[in-house]
Amino acid sequence: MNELLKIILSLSLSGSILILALLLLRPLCQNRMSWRWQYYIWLLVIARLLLPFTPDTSVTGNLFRQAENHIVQTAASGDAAGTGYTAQADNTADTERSAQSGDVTETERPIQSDDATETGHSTQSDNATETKRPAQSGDATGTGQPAQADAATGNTAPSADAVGSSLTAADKTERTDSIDKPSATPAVRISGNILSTLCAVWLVIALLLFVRKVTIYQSFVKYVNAGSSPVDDIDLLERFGQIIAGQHIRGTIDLRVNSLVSSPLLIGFYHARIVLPTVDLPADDFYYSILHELTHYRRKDMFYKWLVQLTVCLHWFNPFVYLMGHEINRLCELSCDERVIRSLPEISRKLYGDTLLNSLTADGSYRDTLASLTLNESKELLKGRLEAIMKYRKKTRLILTATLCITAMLICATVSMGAYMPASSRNYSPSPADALLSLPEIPSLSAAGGTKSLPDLPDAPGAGSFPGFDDESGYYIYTDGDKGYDIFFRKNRYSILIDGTNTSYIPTGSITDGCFGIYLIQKDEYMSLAPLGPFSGSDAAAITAEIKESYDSAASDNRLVLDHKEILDDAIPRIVSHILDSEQAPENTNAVFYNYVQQFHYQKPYIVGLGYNVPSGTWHLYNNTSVTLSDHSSITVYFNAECKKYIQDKTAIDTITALLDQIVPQRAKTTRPIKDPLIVNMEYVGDADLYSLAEKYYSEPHEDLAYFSALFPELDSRTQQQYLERMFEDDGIGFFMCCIGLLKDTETYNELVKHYLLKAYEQGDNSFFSALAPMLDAASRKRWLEKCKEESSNTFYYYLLQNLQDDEDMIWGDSWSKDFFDQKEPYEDLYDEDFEEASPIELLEDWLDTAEYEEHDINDYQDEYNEQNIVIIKNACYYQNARVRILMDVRADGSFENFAYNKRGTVDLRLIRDNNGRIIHVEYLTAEESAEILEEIDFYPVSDENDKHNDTTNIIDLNRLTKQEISDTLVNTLDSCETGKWYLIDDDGCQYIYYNGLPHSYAYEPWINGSETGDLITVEIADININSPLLRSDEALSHYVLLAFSYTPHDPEAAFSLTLKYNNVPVTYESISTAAP
Amino acid sequence: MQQISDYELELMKVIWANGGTALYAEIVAALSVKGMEWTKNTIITLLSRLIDKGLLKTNKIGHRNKYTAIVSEDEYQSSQTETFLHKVYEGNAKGLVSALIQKDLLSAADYEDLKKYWEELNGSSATGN
Repeated sequence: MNELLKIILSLSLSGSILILALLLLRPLCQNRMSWRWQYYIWLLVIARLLLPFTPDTSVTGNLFRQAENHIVQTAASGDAAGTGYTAQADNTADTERSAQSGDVTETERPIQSDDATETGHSTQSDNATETKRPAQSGDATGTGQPAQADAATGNTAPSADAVGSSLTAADKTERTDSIDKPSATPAVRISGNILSTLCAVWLVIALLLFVRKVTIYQSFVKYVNAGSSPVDDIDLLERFGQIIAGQHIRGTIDLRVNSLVSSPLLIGFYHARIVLPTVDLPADDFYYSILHELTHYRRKDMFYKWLVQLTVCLHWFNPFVYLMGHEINRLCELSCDERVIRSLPEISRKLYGDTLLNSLTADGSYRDTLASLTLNESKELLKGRLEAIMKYRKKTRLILTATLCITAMLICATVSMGAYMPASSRNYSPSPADALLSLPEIPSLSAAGGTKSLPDLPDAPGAGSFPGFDDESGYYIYTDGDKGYDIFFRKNRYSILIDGTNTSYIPTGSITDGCFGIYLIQKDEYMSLAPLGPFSGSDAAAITAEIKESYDSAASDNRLVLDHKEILDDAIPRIVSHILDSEQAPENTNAVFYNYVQQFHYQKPYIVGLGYNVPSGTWHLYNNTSVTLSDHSSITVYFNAECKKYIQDKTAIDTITALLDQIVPQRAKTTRPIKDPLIVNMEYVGDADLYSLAEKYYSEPHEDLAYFSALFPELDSRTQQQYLERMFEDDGIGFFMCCIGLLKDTETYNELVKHYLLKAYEQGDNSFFSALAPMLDAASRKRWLEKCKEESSNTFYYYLLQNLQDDEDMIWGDSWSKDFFDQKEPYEDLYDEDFEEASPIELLEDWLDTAEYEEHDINDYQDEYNEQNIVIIKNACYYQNARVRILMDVRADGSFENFAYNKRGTVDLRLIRDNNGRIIHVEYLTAEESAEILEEIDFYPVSDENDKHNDTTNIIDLNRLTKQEISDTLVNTLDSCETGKWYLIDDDGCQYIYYNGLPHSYAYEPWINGSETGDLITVEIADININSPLLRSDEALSHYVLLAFSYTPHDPEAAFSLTLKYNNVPVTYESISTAAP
Repeated sequence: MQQISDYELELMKVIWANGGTALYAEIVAALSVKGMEWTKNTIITLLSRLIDKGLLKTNKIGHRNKYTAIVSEDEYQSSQTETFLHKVYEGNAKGLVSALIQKDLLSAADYEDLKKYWEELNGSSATGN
């Protein structure tokens, strides 16, 4: 009986230590770790408190056993005396003995004394001896029948042994075995007697407490049920049903109303129902209350609460357990809130907070928080919850790692804390409890060093063991080795993509010829080292040093995190060697910058890097040879510097010929015919097996996307899909996107895109989702938009929306854009005393009233705006080649950073900055917003930017157009244009730039370089990728470029000339007019 | 008999119309024909309320619940009429019938039919009312 007490005490002790540890950890975890973790980690403590599993060595186990040994020793020494004493006067009064035992119990009780099996027996024998003592002692001394006495008291009855041994010396040898059990002294035995009483007391109280809790709960449920009536309002029931369906809850939940409850609550285990205080809740309150309760339901918080109640009842004597109960209650609500708001857009978080506040003011006369789940519990807790809602943010990977570490440590601590285990059961290893918790390896783990982990625990997170713990910024920096970043190069910009970012994060903007930009890109921001060059040195070391200089200064004033510096240190030499290897070497001031399409192909025994459609302007830079294809046509093949040696190599030339023979006819009919091929790379692979080659270039140390991409299309589709799966699992987005793109023309392409999009969606993988979203066909994209909207997956919705720009599709996005606008309001201090929110208009007024406005100069923002694709020309802003009318530059708190108005503009923009003042988003204003602001401007003397700066501007406008947007006459003219030529078309006074027959997968990003004199205008046209968010979806389908070009010089009579540049190469164009036949 | 709400009655009507028993899927189908496309939670909740009120019982067929009306439509109607009669006309059936005739809710032909039915009933058994 008292073994049970020992176990309980030991569990209570180790549980208490864990409770203390967790409570001490609390300030460190709060706001860092997810509430959910903080909530469920207590399950460990509960497991510790309830389950007597233990490793071979454990803290409390040892403690108890030491105590045991100690007792055993003292008992043993007492044994001799005791035996002697008993032998001498065995029949002395029991009173004497109990007096003695009283002393012993005093000292021994807190530290348990006995050994498992024996105590069980000795307890029994206690009772037996107790009753038989008088007769026995008389008999034993008088008749010398110790064997009988033994039998009567049970053969382990040691006092009888002792008596017997002292009396019958002859038997002594036979009995040595049983005598050497020293614990069986009367003192210990009788203390055990008291212990069993205690044990019974403990058990009775625990039972009573638990029964009381259950009856209170039952009567509460009865009370609530009796006073409640079912909700008959079908609309309310339907709204309720829809929320349930939306939350993917399987069971059915009844909805009842009881005016006596103070806030919505969830009761019942199997026949759950939600009881509302009233049916007249405002729609929002209803929605969020229900959402909250359903979240409890879905997480089965009821069971957790009852588990806690059970633990509290069993450990009723332990004050820490009550602390734990309180803490778990608090965390239950906090983590429930967290779960709810995780799926809500920011705007709704505020509404959710409102609901919490409203529920506090609701009146009700019956409150019970014992084991029902109500929306609010106390003002203090509510305050914490509101704070948590406002501070909610996604946990970074770093925090997640730290969370995992701490969890592992706590599990170790839990197990190693151990429990007292009776000796008999110590041999059963692993114990069933271990298996249950599937922690089979932990006993050995903790045996090694587990006991030491405890003292370190409270200060571990702050100390060096979690290096990033103080990092609030959410960078994903800690990556695995050199796979931690990718370098992406396009035009003269190198982008270093850190862990998980992809090309869609790359900022746009232009860099002057001869210079290089290096961007360090993270998910939430980027750092630019731009522009760099022209470099004074020409060798790698000199250039590297020059680049290093520019970021060392950033590092020295803490603008560059140390880890980023490490990445840069590693990446810069690679970039420099690329700069030097490329034809675009910066020291060559006459360098020609151009793009061509490049793809790698596998043609036994080579992997051939093939560029094609090399601009004619660059042909002279390369050695070339002519090859004859099987259809007797000949084609000139260019070789870059590295590859020109292959011109003499017959095998290589044969390989190239065979390759061209295969792909030229294939591509001839497509929008990407192969012309002017350029060999950029030849890798001899011999007869190596295709599959082992693929594996070689897929994995370290030969990882090479270019080579792999050559092999990938040759693999069978099963292997291809296996690789895609691996890339997805490995987070190898570069490989993945390249390879799935290679499958574009296959039947499985659409299915694969959908499959992985769904996977990315389910796993919340932003980078894969955003990369895959543009690959969706229009119909699926609409379905996805609906899905994301229904499930409030804002980020994903936004990714999808980015690819939808045409009017028809915008219908889907309208309500979203509105939400997005609302979301930009300042929430941070919303729940302070001042509940009033200033409207954007009021903030605008405030700003216009300040001196800030008078002093600002839009040109100060030139660089910043440039990065957002907003070009400032002559004090006017242009965005996507349309002039900006209203430009609101809004800080994170809603106040204005800048405001510009240009009455000749056509588009209205809002720029949104984050807390660090970086522009994170550019969006169009809705018509209502524009109207509102225009009205406001009428009242305020907002100066037109052009008026302010003396109206001498020559106005150039440039717009991308599609065929649908132009006149039939112009379409006819376009159709008659020759393929492969640039045109400047004059249609009734409007100018259009046109080129027919450019590759399908590219569209064009035009830039204007106006000149100061206004008479020389350069229009630069550059490829933009089909996946670019700059590209409208209808444009992506048009295989041509058409730009509307207008020039309105200040002096209408002024002559001007136009230069066209395509990918930095000046091109010739023909001027025609639609009027001509 | 316990009073049931209008929507619960709709469900009962569906089950009665289906021959007194219906599976969940059949109920959903019948409701959608009537233009009442309710969510699953609503339907199951209403059904279990009807079970609590003793108008329905359920037995499992495989994984599916089969809902069976314990009370027939006739029984329900007469019981409701009785309640109505006592509540509004204090048991005075004549008052109810004359109100029906006055409001033309009972046509002359209906009245003749009923009269015949009444006489037949009286002819076959001596007990009335």
